[in-house]
Order: sequence, then structure tokens, then C-alpha cells
Amino acid sequence: MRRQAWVYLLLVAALLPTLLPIYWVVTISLKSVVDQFAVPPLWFRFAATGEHYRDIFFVRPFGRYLWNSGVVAAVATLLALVLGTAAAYALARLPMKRNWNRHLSFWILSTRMIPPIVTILPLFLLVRDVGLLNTRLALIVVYVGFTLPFVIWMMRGFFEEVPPELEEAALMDGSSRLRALRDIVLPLVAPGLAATAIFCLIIAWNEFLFALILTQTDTVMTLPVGIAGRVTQYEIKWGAMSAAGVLAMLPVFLFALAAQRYLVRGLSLGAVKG
Amino acid sequence: MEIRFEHVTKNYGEVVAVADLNLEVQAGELVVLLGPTGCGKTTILRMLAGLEAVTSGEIYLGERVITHLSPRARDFAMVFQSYALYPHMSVAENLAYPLRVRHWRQDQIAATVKQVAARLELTSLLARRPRELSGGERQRVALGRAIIRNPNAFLLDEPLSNIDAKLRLQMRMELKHLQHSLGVTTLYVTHDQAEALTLAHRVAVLQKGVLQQLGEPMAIYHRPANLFVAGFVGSPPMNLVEGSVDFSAAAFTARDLRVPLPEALLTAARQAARVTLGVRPERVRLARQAETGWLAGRVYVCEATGNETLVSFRAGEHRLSARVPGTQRYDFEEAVWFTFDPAHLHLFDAATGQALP
Repeated sequence: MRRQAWVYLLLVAALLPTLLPIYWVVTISLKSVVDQFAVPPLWFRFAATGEHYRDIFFVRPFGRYLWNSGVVAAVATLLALVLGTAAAYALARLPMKRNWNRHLSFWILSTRMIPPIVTILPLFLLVRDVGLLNTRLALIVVYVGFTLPFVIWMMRGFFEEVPPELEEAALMDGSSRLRALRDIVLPLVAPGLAATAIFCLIIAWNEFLFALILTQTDTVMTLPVGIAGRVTQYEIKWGAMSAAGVLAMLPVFLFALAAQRYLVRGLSLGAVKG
Repeated sequence: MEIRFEHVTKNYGEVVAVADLNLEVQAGELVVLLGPTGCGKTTILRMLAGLEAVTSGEIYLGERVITHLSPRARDFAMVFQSYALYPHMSVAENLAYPLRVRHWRQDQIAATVKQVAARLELTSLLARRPRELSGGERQRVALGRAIIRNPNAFLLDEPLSNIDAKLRLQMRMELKHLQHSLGVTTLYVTHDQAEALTLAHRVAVLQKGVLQQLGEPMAIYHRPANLFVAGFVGSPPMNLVEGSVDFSAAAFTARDLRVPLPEALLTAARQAARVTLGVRPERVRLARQAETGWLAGRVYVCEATGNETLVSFRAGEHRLSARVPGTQRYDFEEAVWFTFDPAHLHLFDAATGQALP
């Protein structure tokens, strides 16, 4: 009993840094402007108000931002998964001379070794020249470029853990290569696929810098940029920002909750190598 | 369907895995590829399966060249050493997979799965996943997945090596019976010579990618074509002693050893300068008392197995073994007398390793 108490205490201590900010954001989004600045802070007892939520949906087009973010993140994740999984499968399975698949994989990963901010100017010029400024397509392309190396690396690890004999057995049983991939390999790496998808989704959903530079109009703006837009010349709209923040967190929460089982299995699947 | 390898070679870069293989497997025959690890036997099987590319030569199925066909077009069924059961499918789904791929009707699949499951005593396990099965059960599922359709041939890659000894003997019998009753051409890979001798219609012994001897099990055992086969087949292996033939005395001589040779062997021995004498342990006679012409030895170790006793003994610098009735026992370092059965001596050319004559 005593021992258990200690464990819980430790858990609480460990969780405090992650959970406190979330609690803070949620409460701020429900507090009136006056209550937000109360000293000492009103932790539990305050009059809840929905004015900030009303503000972001009816005064500012947050529904639009939400939609934009959703489209960009979903499409980018889907594209990165399809392209990256195909590449990863090839790298894991195709025999190449002199370890060329290792070198190729490393080269792919090396594209993530420069800080992204370094690429922002050339990317801006590129996007401008092809006439994609202020489009969601530009963001999708950039995010796919970002996440693709991760997808390839994660998925390659998962593929390599599937014994080749399983595929060979499927071939002997009369499958085509593609059918063996669909029937045997993909179901076995499904947890890995889920983990990779969540990873991509979070990156694309939260991305701020490139979205800020490449999109400036309300019609294509994504949530993170929209939230930052609540820092106005005259005031910082904490309530609206918090309300938007809560809404931005929700989909990722729900998705992770739904895929939790796969996530844990997927992440550990990659970690344990024989 | 009969299978034919014609001048089939497989290279991995500089390494020759299989060299100029010529092998014909008759329809309905069970041929065992036997050899130590790395002798190329699995490579041969995988080339036949279509999982490994052939460097040169042709493989025929009947009169059809299948050298470059996909595994699916060849229509062989394979049992892998690791069984390669699909872990995310139940036993029933595993069995049904080859039929599903072939677009069988659902009710036909169900009926066939039931039938095969009954035959292999898997009926009560159909809903289980492979990880919930014992080694022997997995083995049976892998077999079932192979026999559920009528393939052109069975390819078995060390199917018994992952199960425990007792079960292995039982499965060996089951396999032999199954192959006989189905009458399907079978290629079977193993490094276990007992498995090879008991199962095969014919055995192909391989070493370093080269076919050493192809023949019926008893021919392999009684007339090994060369030193490698003589030493590899048989447990304990054949006694092999290198020496020369003294034609004036009509005897084989090595240091500390002098064995009279029958006329036929003497004639054959004229072809070689140095020879190796071979004699199977069961053709060594062993006794505590000397008889005329017997040689002296000293027991190194004596192993009783019940129905027979294996005696390893030293004769001068040579270490020899004898297989004697289980009633006989010897002590460490006990002095013994021995002789070889003259009708069952083998001579090999020591330089080339080939059997004489």
C-alpha cells in the first residue's frame, strides 16, 4: 500500500509538467478576460464562459483554419505514407550490391540533418515561382518532403522485421508479389503503419514556420498560424488563443487514443531487434 | 510431374554455390538432397521454387522449361524450415490461403480445409493462431498448407529439423506415408543422413555445390562413390584409414595396420598410388581373445545404446569404431582384438577420393 502510494506520487510528479499546461490552456479558454489575470490564479473556481469559442468561430474564421489544417495534415500524411512505405519496402527487400540500400537510406535521412529554417528562403522562392504561394498544395508538398525520410526510416525497420520466408511462402502459395504485400506484409506492419501515421499527422498538424511563410490569406491559413494571429497589435487575445489551442489539440488526442493500442505495439516493434 | 536440372549453376559473385548440377527427379519420386551446411542443397531447392535466380543452365518441369518462371507459374508447394505460417491468420485461414489466392469458391474452400484438417488431425485447432501451437502442430499446418492443393511437386526444406527428436521420428513416418499415398513428386532437403536414408527413393549427396552421388539409399550406404559420401553417410561414420597396397603380400598396409585384401580390390587398387581403406563399424569384428590374423587395439570409449554397443578404440595411431551387439561391454583402455569383414571392405583413391573400382 505505502509502496503504491509512492508510485502514484512519482507518476503525478512526472506528469505534472505535461498535464499542467494543458489544464491551464483549457481553463483559460473558459475564463472571462478578468478572471484570466486574477492573482492568485483561479485554479478551480471561476465562472465558465463560452465567449472565446464564440469569438474564434464567429469573429475569426477558425472553422476554416481547422478545415485547412485537417486537409493539409491528412493529405500530406496519406501521401507520405504511400510514397514512403513503397520506398521503405524496396529498401528493405531489394538486394543491392555493396550495401547500396544502406547508403541510399542514409542519404535520405541526411536531408533532415539541416535545420529546416535554412531551407525556408529557397523554398519560398521556389513556391513563389511555381505560383503556389497561398495554396494548401504548397504546404502539402513541403510536409510530404519533411515527413518522407521519417516514414521511410520507420517503415524500413518494420519491414525488415517481417521474415522474408513469410512472403516467400505466400509466393509459393500462388500470390503475386503485390498480393503477398497486401495479404501478408501489410497486416503484419499495420501497428508500425499506425505509429508512423500518427507521427506524420502530428508534425503536419503542428507545423508553424512554413505555414506562416507560405500562406498569408485566411482562406488557406492553418490553425497554428491562425492562433498566432491572435497576438494583435493592441492586445494578446489569450482566451481566443487558448480556445483555438484546445481545439487544435483535440483531434490529435482523439486519434492517438483510437490508435493507442497500435502505437505502443508499433513503437516497441521497431525498437526490439533480434 | 518429373523435374530435370540440366547444367544448373549458381554463383554468388565469386562464390560457386551450385556447380553444373544434372539431376532428374521422376514423377512421384521422393529425392532427398543431402549434405552438410553450405553444400548448396537449399539453394537448389530455392532455384527450383523460383525464389532464387539461376546463373546458368535450365530447369525442366516435364518438357517445359521453367528456369525463369515466377514461383506462382511453377505451381510447387513448399514447406519451409521455419514453417513460415502467417502469424496474423488462424490455422484455417493459413490452410485456406493457397485456395483463396486461386479464387476458389468459399464453400469449396471450407470443405477442403475441413478435409485436410481431418487428415492431419488439426480439426480442433482450426481457430487457433500459429503462436498458440506447439512445434509439431505448426509443422502439420505447414504440411497441410502444402497438400491442400495438387501442386506439381512438394519442396521440403528441412521440415523436421525444428521439432524434438521423438516427434521427429513420428513425423518422418507420417511424411513418408503421406508422400506415398499422394504420389506427388517431392524434393526434400536435409542434413540428417538418417532422414535421407529412411525417406528417399533416391538420395543426392552434395558437397560444396557439387553432386557427389545419386542413388538409392542402400546403394549410397553400401557403395559410396567417394570418400566424402563414405564419411558423411552412416552413423557412426565409416572407418577410413589412409595407406598403400603391398601387392606382394596382397594386403593393405598403413602404419600399425595390415589388412589382407580380396582379389577384386587388389586389381582395382593397381590404379592408385595411395589408397584409403574404408570399413563400416558394423563390419568390424571385436573380441577379447585373439584369433589368427587379428590386430590389437585398446578401447577409448564404449557406448551402450541398448540393442547395440558402439566401441571406439585405438589401433596404433588410428582411431576406429565398431558396432557390436548390445550384450558386449568393454572397459576404458581394455585390450581388444579386431578384424575387418573382408567381404565389406571399401577402397578409395587417396588422391582423388573416388571409390575403387
